[in-house]
Amino acid sequence: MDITTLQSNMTRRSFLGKSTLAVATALGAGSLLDACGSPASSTPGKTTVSIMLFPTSELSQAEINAFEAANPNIVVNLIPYDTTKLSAMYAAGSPPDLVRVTGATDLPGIVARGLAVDLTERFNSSSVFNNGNLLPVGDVYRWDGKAQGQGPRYGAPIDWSLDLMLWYNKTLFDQRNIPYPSATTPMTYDELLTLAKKLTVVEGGKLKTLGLNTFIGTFWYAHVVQMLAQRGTSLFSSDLSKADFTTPDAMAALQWFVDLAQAHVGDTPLDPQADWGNNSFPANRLAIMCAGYWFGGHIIQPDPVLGVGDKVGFAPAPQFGTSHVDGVAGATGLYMATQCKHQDEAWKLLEFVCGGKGSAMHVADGSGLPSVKSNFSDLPSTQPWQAQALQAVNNELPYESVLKFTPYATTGAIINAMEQSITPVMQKKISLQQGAENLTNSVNLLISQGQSVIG
Amino acid sequence: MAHLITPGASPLTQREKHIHTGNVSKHHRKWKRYSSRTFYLFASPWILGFLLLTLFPMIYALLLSLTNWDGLSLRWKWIGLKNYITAIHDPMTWLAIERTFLYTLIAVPGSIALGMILALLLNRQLPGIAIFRTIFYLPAVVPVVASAITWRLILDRDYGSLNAFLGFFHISSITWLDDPWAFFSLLMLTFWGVGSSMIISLAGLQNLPQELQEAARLEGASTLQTFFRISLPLISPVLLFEAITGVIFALQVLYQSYALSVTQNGIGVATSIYVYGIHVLNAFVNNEVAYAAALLWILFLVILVVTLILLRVGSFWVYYEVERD
Repeated sequence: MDITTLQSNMTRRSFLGKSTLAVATALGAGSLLDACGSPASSTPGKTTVSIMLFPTSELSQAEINAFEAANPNIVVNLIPYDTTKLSAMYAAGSPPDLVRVTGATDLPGIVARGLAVDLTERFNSSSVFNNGNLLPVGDVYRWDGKAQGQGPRYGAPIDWSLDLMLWYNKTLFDQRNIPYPSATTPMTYDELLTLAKKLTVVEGGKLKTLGLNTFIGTFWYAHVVQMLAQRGTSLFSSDLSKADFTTPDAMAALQWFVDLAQAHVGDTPLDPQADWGNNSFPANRLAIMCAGYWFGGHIIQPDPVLGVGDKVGFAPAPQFGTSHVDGVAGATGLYMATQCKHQDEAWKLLEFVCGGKGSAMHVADGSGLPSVKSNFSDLPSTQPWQAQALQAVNNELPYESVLKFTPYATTGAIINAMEQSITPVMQKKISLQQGAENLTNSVNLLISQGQSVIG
Repeated sequence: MAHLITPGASPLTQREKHIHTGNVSKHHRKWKRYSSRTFYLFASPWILGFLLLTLFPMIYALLLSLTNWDGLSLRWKWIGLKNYITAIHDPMTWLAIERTFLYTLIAVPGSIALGMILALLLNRQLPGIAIFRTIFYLPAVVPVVASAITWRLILDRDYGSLNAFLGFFHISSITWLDDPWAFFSLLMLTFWGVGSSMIISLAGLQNLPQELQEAARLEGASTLQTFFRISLPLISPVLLFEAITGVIFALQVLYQSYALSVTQNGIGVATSIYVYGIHVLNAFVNNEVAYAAALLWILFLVILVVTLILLRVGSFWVYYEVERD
């Protein structure tokens, strides 16, 4: 080969030009493929509705089959929930039609970012949700730009719970001859910590039995918000644009978590555990698990030992003040993306999953409470523990409250900030005052960043 | 192929005949016409891969780092270098960089030294030596995440086998996966995979000319002298390669620390193994996608500078048998 010939034909400019052309061709081909859509969407005469949820635990194949049987012209495309994939889909301008959201904490942020369709009219005219069938918890999906629970409605919960109630393992209580918690009178946080210390077993520096799991990695933020609500105060300013962890009440709440960690009774940054209670509770290693009603359906009911008989109990959430508050910190549900092209079909699926037959199928194993009154009769109560859990929930419903979270920062980000700021306090490296100040600064920075995006 | 060469006939091929008989220009024209196409055809898999999977994401990330996009919002705007300025003023960035450099300073020389020692031990013709080489190399082929999860189980304070073993000697349980031990656990996991460094050093040692070592021994050089005066200089280019790739991997360390951390939301305890990768991951978790992109570009520039320094410093201690351009 004549190398000079090749060089003369392959100038730098032509190399770059042809390479760019190749990339553009490849990208163009990708776009064309995207435009073709998924195989399901090309099914003649049928419309595909995409929905992003956790498969099985939040939407089972049986529910999908039931929906498609009732709506033969709609095909459901279930996309497993994945935040990275969701970001990529938004970046590409093609998010799922219906998207999972933790309503209590994250819905206002979603609405404020302009991501959700106003569904007020559809809710008002719905035979499933209307006429008082939708429970008050559905109001966490309302946001008027300033306050949650008011204004237009953007979605509904698939299921919900009073998330900070207490499941307890009777076997471990019996081993220590400790009476069970009351199903009607809530403990204080201090009483709960004292009880957890009694139930904890330490051998050779190892935690053999954990007294308490507060679900700190998921609900630390919610705990603090609820603790302050029980004292009649709030973590945030009235417009939710500033947080203050240095108030006496907020510092008292943080101090409780510092005491919890230093007592070494369960999962905290000082005693990190490999599981979140899903394994240790059924294995009789965890005495008290702070979780909502859903824990019964997901963890207890499938267990061959705990799921039969009367080996567990359910008690009200602990209290930190004089106002009896048992709040909703999750209420996971669906919103409709503003880019949704088949809103009528997507609405049918949302209605089915959040309030219709799908919801009834979903809650039948105790995986959460339904968002509509008509499906309450589907909750399980055949086992004694199931009946007791249902009774405990009913006892607490009068104290249900929608907790106030800022729309400008995500729960995950705030829990990260709490972990980074308060762990050194737990380790006695800095004072609580310093930790609370650091936390306030971190969270307010997150809020200001969120505000800069939302505008 | 003798039967193709008939008596009196030239053994040249038809193409060579054309060249010899003056048909060169015609065939050269044909070759000229298709030469660059041929080049692009054969190079296109790499070119496309580089442009689509390396250059495009890098430029995309660079542009992203100049915005305030949070990964979801339909509303975003250009904010210039604000993310970079925020990163520089964020104390967690410096904590992460400090931890990462400390990790790199220990992990890279340690891995090279351990790998070299193992390679020297295994560079012998003994019965069953292949079995030993396999045993030491095996951890290097186990996926990083799988090995990290295995180590997390071993190092668990309450149920881990390491604390159970220490218990036989009445040593109380150690919280291996929290401050300050978690950093050492990360190093332990790194050194467990030293087989990859060992195999490169072993290949380098086996490629050494034996006559030089024999000559040194005949001249009365001890084993240590032979190693330091003959072997080490000769495999110094291999060591430079190990140093550069090791530093790049160490500065990017993420999976090991991520899988070792045991908190429920998957993010490591801030004060334990807070390496740069976790810092970036935190930014993603916090929906600060644009900020995370800025952090990644800072990491890229740091790696670039460190690599250039290593290459420059390497010219003082690396011995090349041939003259370099």
